[in-house]
Amino acid sequence: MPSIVGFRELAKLRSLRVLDLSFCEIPVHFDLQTLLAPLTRLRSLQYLSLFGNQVAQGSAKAKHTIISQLPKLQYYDYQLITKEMRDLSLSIATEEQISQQDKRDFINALVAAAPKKNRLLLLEQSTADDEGADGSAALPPALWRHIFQLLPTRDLVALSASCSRFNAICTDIRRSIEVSQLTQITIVHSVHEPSWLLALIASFPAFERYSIRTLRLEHYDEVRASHAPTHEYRLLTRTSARLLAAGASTARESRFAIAFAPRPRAVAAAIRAGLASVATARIAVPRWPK
Amino acid sequence: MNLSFNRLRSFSCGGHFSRVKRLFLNDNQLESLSLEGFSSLTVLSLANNQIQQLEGLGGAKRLIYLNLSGNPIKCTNLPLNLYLHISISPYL
Repeated sequence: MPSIVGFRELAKLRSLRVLDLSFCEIPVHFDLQTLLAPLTRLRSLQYLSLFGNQVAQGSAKAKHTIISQLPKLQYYDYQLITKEMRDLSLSIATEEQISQQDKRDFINALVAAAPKKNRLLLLEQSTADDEGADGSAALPPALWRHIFQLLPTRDLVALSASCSRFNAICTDIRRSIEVSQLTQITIVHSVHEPSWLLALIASFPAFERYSIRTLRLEHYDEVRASHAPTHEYRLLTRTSARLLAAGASTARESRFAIAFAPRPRAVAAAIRAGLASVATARIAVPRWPK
Repeated sequence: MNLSFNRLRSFSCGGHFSRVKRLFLNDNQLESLSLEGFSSLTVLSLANNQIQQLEGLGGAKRLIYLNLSGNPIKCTNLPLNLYLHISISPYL
């Protein structure tokens, strides 16, 4: 784990109120939790600046993480921390914790339900925590590949915040992917859903929580690292909701649109939506990384 | 005490500045710190130096204000998987 030599000594400065670490060239790979560990002991710290450091600018959630973990902080990067900002940071931090727990539960359930011969491989590969370029936590590539291959799809239009990740993961099944003008992905590849996966869905209570109303389909802008639901995603949500409500189950003829965001919750919802075997819904991918 | 905008490469007091409360060493060429003897220090500004390591700060326990902006703070142990990520990622 990377560290700054002597940084722990800051924890001894119990009366420190102002700490300016702007433009200190702290790189993006530096673990924010390691950086914050000694600072959380400074109970009188009211002002902190990490402006101009990649570690604070590489991810949109870095600011919220810092604000949520330093409750006494009043100013961050020359800005007053308002009550609204602090509430937002706390809610994001809470959501992140829930998301991480969901991710662990999901991986454990998926690994446990997989055939025995695949369990060890999945387990080994799922221990490596994959962090996307957008700084978001994501499922390990092995599990993504596993999910993609098991989805009962004939046409799968995948919208993703993690387009780059999706692209990278699917390189081995690239033959079955047709990319037309980089605006639409179609997997012309049909796999019948195995019984163990159906059993998993039925036995995994967390999936029941993912109603279509909670299905968060987001366009994750990798450049600006900000969440912004696009018109296409909203359209997809509405379409999926309508089709799911209709209860269509033409398994062999089914075509459905499904959106992947780099979050286990969305993955679980997507799988659930996929197994419902809804009818055709096509949609253009709004953005594809060059 | 303000010693900013000099070309200091090192700074130590030898215990003669125990009553100094504010010390400004901005825009020098300091590479390390030695705050022994500055027991009363409350304000320390070290902006725009060449400090890479933060050792030696623990002695100034009354410090209220600490400015380390513009210093190339050194991070150790770049993880191996980052090298791999950089080398294999087509988006970097």
